Amino acid sequence: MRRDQHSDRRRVRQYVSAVLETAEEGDDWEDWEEELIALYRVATDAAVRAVVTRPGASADEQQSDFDVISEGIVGDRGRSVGHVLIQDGTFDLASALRAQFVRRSETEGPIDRVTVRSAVTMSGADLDGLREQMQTQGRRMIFHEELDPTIKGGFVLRHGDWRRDFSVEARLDALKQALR
Amino acid sequence: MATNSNDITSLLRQRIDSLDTTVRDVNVGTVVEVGDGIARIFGLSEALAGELLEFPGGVVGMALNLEEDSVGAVLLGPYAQIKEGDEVRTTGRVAEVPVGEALLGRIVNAVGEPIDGRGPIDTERTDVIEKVAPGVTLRANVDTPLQTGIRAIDSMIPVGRGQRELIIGDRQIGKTAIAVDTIINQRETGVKCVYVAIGQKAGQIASVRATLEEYGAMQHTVIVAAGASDPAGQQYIAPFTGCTIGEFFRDDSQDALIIYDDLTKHAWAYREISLLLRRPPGREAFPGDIFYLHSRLLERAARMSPDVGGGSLTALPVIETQEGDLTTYVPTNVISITDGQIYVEPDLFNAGNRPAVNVGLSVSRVGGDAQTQAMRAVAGGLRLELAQYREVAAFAQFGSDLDASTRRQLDRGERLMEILKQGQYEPQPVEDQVISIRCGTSGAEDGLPIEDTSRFLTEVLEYMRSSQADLVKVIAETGKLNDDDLEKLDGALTSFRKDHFLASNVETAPDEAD
Repeated sequence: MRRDQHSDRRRVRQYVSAVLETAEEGDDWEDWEEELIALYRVATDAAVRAVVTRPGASADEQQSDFDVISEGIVGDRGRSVGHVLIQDGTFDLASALRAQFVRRSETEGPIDRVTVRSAVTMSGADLDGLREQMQTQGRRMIFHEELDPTIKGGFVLRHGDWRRDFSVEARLDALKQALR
Repeated sequence: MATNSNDITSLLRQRIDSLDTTVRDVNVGTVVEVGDGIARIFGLSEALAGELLEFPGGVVGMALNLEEDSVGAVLLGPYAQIKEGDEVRTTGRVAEVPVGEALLGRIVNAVGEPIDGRGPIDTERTDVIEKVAPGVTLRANVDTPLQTGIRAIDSMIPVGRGQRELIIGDRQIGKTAIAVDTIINQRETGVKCVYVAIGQKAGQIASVRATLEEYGAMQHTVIVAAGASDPAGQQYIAPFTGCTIGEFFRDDSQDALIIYDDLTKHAWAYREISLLLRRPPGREAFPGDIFYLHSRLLERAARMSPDVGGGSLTALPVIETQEGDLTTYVPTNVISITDGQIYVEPDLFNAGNRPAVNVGLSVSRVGGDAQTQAMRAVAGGLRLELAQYREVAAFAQFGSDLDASTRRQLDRGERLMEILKQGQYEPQPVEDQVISIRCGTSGAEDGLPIEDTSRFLTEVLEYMRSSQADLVKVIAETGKLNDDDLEKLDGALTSFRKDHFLASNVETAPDEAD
């Protein structure tokens, strides 16, 4: 089958539509997200890719190699997506698939992704407070925490396409601009 | 400046008190693909077309493609450090560059940063690079000449202030030389010049700068350089940057001249960006809006109405052709956009005619309006005489039996061609051009050996300045030549030929010397 950028984009769109539909039915969005991330990590490993897509191997052999390598790393959902990709000869699209799933699960699904970047580990109470503030009716929130000492203090919230900066670094930067 | 610690403390206190620490929402996205000066960014749902985007490390990009879930952006700085997953933010601004008198004498890159090692540019003003051209009611007729100082152009293809005149021709045959001569000729005129180098070798840009400095023309010139090694994004925006810098002078009731050298490479840069952004390719793989790209740029050249200051921006875009082919996509587009073209021809160049302007194929659609009356008076029939000469010269190649009238036409044409030859970096004031052209059209040169033409012209100008200083002054100051003055001029030329030139060169014209 001839592949080009346009056909790849179309394929990724089809895969993600199918995954979104399945996640909707099973109401297991978080699990899908986790497993697609795991699949992405395995599929973007150069060594894994070299084994799984080695020339001369049949699709069945490639699938069983993939199953052996991903055992304990990728769950059933991720593995079934991996099988489809191997059968279609599009194993390299795992990265694009995951990126588009993340995006479309927000716009077409009920997922709100929030990333909190803080200089020090935030307490459970602080995080719960934040979670409560950010929660929107009818939406499900996937919360990620990251440590970033370079922001010096405070925290930075990233919610979808928006960023809100409560960091000490941002305040210092504003002060620097004002004093210029 | 007299300051003490109390002053500084109170200043700091004032600034700290007025510090706005409100947290604002910033629209962000994530880089999913980067390379070849282009980035594809997931997110940025609020990005506007043409908006500046901020990448990590302070690198700036411009949003060009707004798609359903991503944005295609052209990067305007070094992008080696940008990687997949980096966060990109919108800035709420469109691209702006510094403008003002302080830019004169400076070399800036496509984003308006100085690259001549002479420190920051001392100007507070900035302006956006993409602007809508002035409307019909704000414009005035193009009726004031912009002297290029080149006889072949000022006499037959006059350029007016506010006009768009294309310089077109193959590589290495003197297109840039015409542009540079025109800039040099603006030394005493008050016309501010902007030279935009697009996709040129750094050595060529340095050479233009050195030439302008050598001839004292850098003080009234700004060079905008987007060289061959700069990203395609910079080459794409460079003409718009230059245009904005020129528009400052136009809108400040001054006259400005802008050279785009050259728009072929600009079109190539835009094609590269468009293909990388996966826009559908059209003819010669150029995107569908390549015409609009150049038309919206060149429409910004205008002569403004006196109600809005009466300034002007004249554009001399340059187009490089391949093997003299004018019928390719970009040349035909730009020919149709501009108000005429100066066609530089390889055959003329190789035959030693410099500037190698083909006056038959060159045209100025503004015409005589952009010419002084004196030049119109002496060069009125020049184009026709040269056309007749070319026709007769073509036939004369097949036989030597020519009647007297044909022989006269050939003789006159050869001399006129010789008169139109002019050295590089030697632009001539209008009064000298009028006298030189009149030497040819009045027949004052007829019968003299061709090889004496250059010397004749040099000596006649010296003679006129010493013996007819009043007449020369009238032409220089008024640009006019009435019938009496014309008669006086012809008389002076005849007298010079007979009493001075031939008298000192008896052997060159035996029929008149006896």
